[in-house]
Amino acid sequence: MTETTNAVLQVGDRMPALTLTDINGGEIQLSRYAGQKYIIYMWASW
Amino acid sequence: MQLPVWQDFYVANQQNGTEVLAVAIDFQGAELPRPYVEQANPTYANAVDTENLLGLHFGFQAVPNAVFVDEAGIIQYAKFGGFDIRKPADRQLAEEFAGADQVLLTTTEQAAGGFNSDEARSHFNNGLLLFHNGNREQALTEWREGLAYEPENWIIRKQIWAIEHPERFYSGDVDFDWQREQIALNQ
Repeated sequence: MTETTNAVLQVGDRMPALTLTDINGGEIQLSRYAGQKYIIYMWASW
Repeated sequence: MQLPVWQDFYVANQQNGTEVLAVAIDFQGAELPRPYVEQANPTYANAVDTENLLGLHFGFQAVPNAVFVDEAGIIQYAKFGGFDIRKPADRQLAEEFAGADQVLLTTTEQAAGGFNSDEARSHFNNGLLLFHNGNREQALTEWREGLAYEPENWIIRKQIWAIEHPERFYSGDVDFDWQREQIALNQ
């Protein structure tokens, strides 16, 4: 089963240390932004 | 497309040290969104989320979304559905965040709400697992069952469309007229 989480993140919560897939392969770990501001923009081509 | 405008924002705010991470939500893989990224040729990072990792953490039903995270890793702002860096109001919010010395902590803006029912979430997750295991038809069945619980859930609806009618999405421009016809037909 896909792991599910019922605790939906809210403003004021700490962003979890997720690892995403680079669109050209490899990994993007959110920990790379430690100590920096960042904006996650989520989009879809559909 | 917002990707080129995010590049403009990124360059304009680099002196603030604000990073941009664009994440394509596409359960079919990186191949489909990649041409859009290549066309925009951004210098910020680009990821693809094929596992609905962000959807599970944030519970959104629609994109485009923006989440602002501060230096301490705290989520300062989130908008799910309808965030558009080309709109002056959204651009201003992003600029204020990038330029602020202090935190702004605003409320979450949820255009379409999260998954409202455990049933829809369960069917959606089952379908995602089936799809990644190659069981396309069974995945579509699960997603249709999930959609029956939440007809307004655009994450499920559009993913079904994209898999059943790829020609409407991936051969040139997205066919929004076709999408409006499908809505009118209640498909």
